[in-house]
Amino acid sequence: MMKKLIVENLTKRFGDLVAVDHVSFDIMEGEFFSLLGPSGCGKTTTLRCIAGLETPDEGRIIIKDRDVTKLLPQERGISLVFQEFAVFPHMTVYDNLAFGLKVRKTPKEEIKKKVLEIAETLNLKDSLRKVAGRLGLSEKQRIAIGRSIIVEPEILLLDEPLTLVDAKVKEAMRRELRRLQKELRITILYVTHDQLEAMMMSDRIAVMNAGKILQIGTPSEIYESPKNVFIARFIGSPTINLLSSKLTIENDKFSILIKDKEAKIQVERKLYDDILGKHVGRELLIGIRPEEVEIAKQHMQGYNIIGKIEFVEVMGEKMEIYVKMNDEYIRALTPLRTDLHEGDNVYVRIPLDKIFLFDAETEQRIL
Amino acid sequence: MTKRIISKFLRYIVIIAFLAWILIPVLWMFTLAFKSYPEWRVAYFFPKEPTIMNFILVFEPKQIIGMMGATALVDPVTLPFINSLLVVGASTVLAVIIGFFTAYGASRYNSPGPFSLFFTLLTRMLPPATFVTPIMVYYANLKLLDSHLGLIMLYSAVTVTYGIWILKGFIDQVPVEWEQAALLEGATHIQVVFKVTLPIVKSGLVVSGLFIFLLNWAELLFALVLTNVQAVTLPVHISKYVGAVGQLYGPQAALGILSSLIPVVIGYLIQKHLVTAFTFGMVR
Repeated sequence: MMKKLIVENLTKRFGDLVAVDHVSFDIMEGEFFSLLGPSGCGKTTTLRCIAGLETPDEGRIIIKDRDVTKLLPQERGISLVFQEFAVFPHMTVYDNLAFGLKVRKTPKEEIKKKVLEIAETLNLKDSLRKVAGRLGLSEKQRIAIGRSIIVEPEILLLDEPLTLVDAKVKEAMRRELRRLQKELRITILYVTHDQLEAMMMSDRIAVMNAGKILQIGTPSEIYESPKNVFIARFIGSPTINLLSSKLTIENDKFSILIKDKEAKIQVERKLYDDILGKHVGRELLIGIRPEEVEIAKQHMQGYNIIGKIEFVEVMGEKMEIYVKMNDEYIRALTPLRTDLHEGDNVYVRIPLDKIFLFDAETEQRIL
Repeated sequence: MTKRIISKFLRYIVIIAFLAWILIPVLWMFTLAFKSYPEWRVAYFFPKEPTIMNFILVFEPKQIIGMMGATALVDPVTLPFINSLLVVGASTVLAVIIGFFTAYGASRYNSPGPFSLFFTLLTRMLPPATFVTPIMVYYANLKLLDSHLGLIMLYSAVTVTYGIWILKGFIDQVPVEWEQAALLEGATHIQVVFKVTLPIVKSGLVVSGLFIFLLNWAELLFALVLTNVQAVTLPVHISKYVGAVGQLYGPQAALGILSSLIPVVIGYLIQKHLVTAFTFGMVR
C-alpha cells in the first residue's frame, strides 16, 4: 500500500506557545486516520498546516510523493470539511456541489455528470434544486462532504465535523461517513476530541496532547495497551480506574500494595523481574478498566479488596457501580444486576492479566 | 379579564402616541399639499377645498409664482428631480462598492486598523457647515462647482463610512471557513469574494445602500452651497419656495410628497432584503 500523506517533524509556534511540537505520522491510501486529543492539543493546527491554512515553522508535508509544504492550499490536492459545514447558503445544492468544478472551468457536461453521480451516492438527488441554506444539518454535512470529494482530492481532511450535531443525528452521520469512505475509497484525516467517535470510525488513531503525538495505533491497540496515564484516561468510557499503590518485595514475590496495605496484588518475582525489578519501592498507579472489575457479595477466591457500594448508576443494559475503599473509589461497569444496592459491603477482584501499571511520577506505562 | 383589556388598551395608546410622534409631520405635509393658499397657515389637518393646484404649479416652466403676495422665482421640478436621482444614485453605488471592499479588508485582514476605520467617521463628527466652505473654495479651483461629478464625489466620500461600518458587521458574520473551503476547492481569492462573500452579504449591500441613499437624498447644505443652476438637487429646489417675499408652503408640501416617492418605492421593492438583513447571522 502506498503512503498518501507523510508529515515529518511538523512544528508550529504562536509566539511562545508551541502549538504543534515535532509531529510526525503517515497515512496510507484509503485509510481513515484520526487525530484525537483534548481541545487545545494542537490537532486542528496540525490539520490546518496540512491544508496550507497555516504556515509551519519546521517540518515537511508530503502528499502523494510531492512536497507541498510551500504550496498554496489550492495546489495541494486536499479538501477540508469544517466544523461549521461550509455550505454556501445562497446557492442551490447543485451549485454547491458543482462549485469546485465550476471555478476550475470544467466543461458543463462533465460537471453535470459528476454532480449527479455524487448526489446519487449521497442521497441528495431530490434536493438538488433546493437552496442549501434551508436544509437540515445532516443534509448540509452530506453537501459539504460531496463538495469536498467531487474535486477528487488526494486526501480529505475533516475538522470535528460532528461536534455541532446532536447525539441521534451524530450516530447516523458517523455510519454514513464510514460507508462513504469505504465505498469511495477516500483517504481521510479526521480531527476530533471525541474518543468514542475516533474509536468507532478510524483505522488508526494518533493521540495528541500538548502539541505532541503520544501514541499511534489501531483503536484496539490504543485501548488495550495505552502508553501512558494520559492515554489510558482519555480513551474509554467510563474512565479507567487509577489506584495509587506501592511496589515492594515480600517473600520473594512482588507485592503491589493498594493504599496503605488495605489490599495487595502479588506476583512471582522471577517471572516479572526484568519489568518490575527496577521499580521496587516506587509509587505506582494501577490502571484497570471499569468493565474488567469484578464484584461479589460473598468473599471468594481472588476477591481481596473490601469496599462499600456508594453509588449505583443504571444505564440501560449496564450499570456503573462506585465502590468506596477508604478514601478512594473504584468504578465497575457490569451487566445489570439486581443483587447490588447502594450501601452493600462487597468484595472486589481486579484480574491480574487486565491491569496496567504506570510509574506514578513519569506516568509512563511499565506493564 | 378587565386587567387584560386595560393592558391591551394601554399598549395601543403607547403605539399610537409613538406613531403620532414620528408620523404627524408627514401627515401634515400630506394634507398641506392639497390645501389652497388661504388654508396654508391654518392649523387644521384636512383641507376644506382640496386642490391639486400645488402639484401642477411645481411643474410649470420658469416663472414668478405669485399668489396673494407670496412669490418666488423657480424652475420646474423636472431638472432637480433628475439631478437628484443621478447624483444620489451614483454616489450611493460608489459608496457601497468602495465600502464593501474596505469593509472586507477590515473584516478579514484587520486593515486599515481599527483606528483608521474609526477615523472614516470624521466627516460625520463635524457639523458639515464647518467644512463646506473649504470644499467650496477647493471646488471653485477645480471647476467642480455646480457639477454632478463634484456632488457625487462629496456625497460618496461622506457616506462611504456608513457603507464600511454596516457591511463590516455583515462580513464579520460570514464564517471565514466558508471562504477557506472555497479556496481549497480551487477558487481564486477574487472568485471567493465575488461568488461566496458578496452574494451572502447581498442584503447588507441593499440595506447600507438604502441608508446611504436616504441620507444623500435629503442632503441640503452641501448642495445648497455647491450647486447653482445645472446640478441643483431636490432639497435645494424645495428650499427655493421659501423666498424673501413669502413662503409657498403648498407647492413645497407637494414637492415633499413627490420627493418621498422615490425612497418609498425603493423601500417597497427591497423589503424582502430588509427582513433578511434584520435577521442576518441568526439563521445560517
